[in-house]
Amino acid sequence: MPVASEVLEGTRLLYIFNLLKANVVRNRRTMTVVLLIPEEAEDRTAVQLKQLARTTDLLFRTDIPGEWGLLLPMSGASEAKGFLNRLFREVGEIKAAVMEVVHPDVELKAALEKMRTVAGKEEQVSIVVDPEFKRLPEEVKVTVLDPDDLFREVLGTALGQLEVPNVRLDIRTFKDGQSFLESGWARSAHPHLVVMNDLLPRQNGLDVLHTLRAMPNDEKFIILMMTRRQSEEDMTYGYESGADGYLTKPFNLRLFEAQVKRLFARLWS
Amino acid sequence: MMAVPITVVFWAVVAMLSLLAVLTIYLFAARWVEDRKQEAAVAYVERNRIKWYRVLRGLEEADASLVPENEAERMAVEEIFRSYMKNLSDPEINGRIRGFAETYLAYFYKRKLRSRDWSTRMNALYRIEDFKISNLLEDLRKLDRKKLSAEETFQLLMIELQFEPDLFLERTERHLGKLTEYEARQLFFLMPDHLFEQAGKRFPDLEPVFRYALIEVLGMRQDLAKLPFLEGLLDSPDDETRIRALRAIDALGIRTPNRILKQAINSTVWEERFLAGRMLHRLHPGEAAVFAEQLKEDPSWLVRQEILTLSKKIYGAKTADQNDGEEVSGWRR
Repeated sequence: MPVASEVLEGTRLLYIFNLLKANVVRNRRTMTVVLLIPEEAEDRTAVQLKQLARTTDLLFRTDIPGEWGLLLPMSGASEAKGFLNRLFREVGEIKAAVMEVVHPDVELKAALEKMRTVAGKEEQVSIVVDPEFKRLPEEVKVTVLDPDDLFREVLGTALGQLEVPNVRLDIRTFKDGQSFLESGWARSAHPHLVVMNDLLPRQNGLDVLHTLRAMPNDEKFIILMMTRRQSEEDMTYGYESGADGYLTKPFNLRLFEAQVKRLFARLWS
Repeated sequence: MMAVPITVVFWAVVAMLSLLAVLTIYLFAARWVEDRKQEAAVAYVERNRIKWYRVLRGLEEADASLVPENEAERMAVEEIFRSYMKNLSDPEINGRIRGFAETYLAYFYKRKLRSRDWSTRMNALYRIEDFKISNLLEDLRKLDRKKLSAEETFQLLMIELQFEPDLFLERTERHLGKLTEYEARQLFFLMPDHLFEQAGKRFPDLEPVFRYALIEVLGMRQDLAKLPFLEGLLDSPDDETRIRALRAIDALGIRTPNRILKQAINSTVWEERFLAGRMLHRLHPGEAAVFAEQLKEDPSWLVRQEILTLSKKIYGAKTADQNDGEEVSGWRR
């Protein structure tokens, strides 16, 4: 793996960019490209860039002499701006543009071209947002498991009406653990939110929890348990068995919706 | 042997068969009516559940189509409300349920309160409490208390406490004496803090059953500020009051002050000594050993067992302490 002191160019730069881009989509990690266009080629800028960049950041040179760039894996535009502020304190202000890469079809050459056209036009650091390459909506499965028919529908309806940017919810409800596990609904690679009661007919909530956590790709599950018992012991056991959160009935639906929105927002980091 | 004419036997059989036929018809008819009610209730829920969701979430206003027109539909509305209230705590949702119930369901329950059937009246009282139908409070106060069962009286007190807590003690004082300790405990537990304080101030005037319930609830509430009050009760001439006060102090989960421990250990009542033994578990092993020494030959088997359990704990700690160079004094195993 290259370190910041290594400067990428040409085909190697393209190879690394494409590799990181694949990771962006697979692991839902934002990558940011920073383009720096100094007024005149300065060695001092290059030296400072190397010093300030983290070991995980990748420094590159474009085809245009004097132009520098930086790939920031697992970082967003705000972190890129923070980096640039530190750089400007050292070498003075330079025209710069920042672009978050969140779409698999973004090409480096085209991205750099767009960044060049806006760099330094309005502010010192221009943030490029390409409407063509916005984040693809992610399909998230949602399962509600509760023996109360009416309440199950209420939760399903509430979740169905949630507005979560870039997330498309596919909701199904089940009355008992066995019908859920036998339905095959849990077998897919999609992120999957499971909201289930601890007590369920046929196969109870904790059994379902154990089964889901024993699946090979169990990390895709976000599991919220609902309980009526305010037993710290039960909850501790639930958390130790892999629950991500507990809701004690009766709970506030608005609070629940806010929690779920936050969970979905954290799918991308 | 007495001979029964065949015609008598024949008519007796005919009469019994007729009675059976009538009973069968009645059972089938009753079942049919019940099934139709159930179907109507299910149809109402199916027709309106999304609408109810939107109404209770404040996305639209309730309209005439939601107002129940018969017993089956009222049952369906109750089922919907109970499902929401059992699982969700949003004050807005509860407020809307209350508003609808006061406007459209109160009449049903008012009628049911006059029923001759005890379970019908009780169910009406439960629903009035569940849905917080406060506009029936005056009707409830007018009910003839002499004719009410103990369960109804208690349910009325629960409703009174929920709807008008500030006037609860004044209004209900004369009815409290009939309650069981369990019921009294429930009332105290549900009382808002200020009312509970008020009840506490009347402690000496309360009936014993209420005094005991109040002490128990003090333990359940685990309010440390009440320790001096509980400690004061340890001087009571009544054994039961002292035992309950000690139990409440134990429930506070604190390291019990030495003066309380000494008093309990020297008590003539074995329950107090037993509770003292239980409290010793929260002391440092060295300190616990000193107190335990006084109880290890206790005449009560339960107290001795408690001290034996403690001694095993202390012995383990003692070994660890001695390894650290500390001596656990006064304890011989």
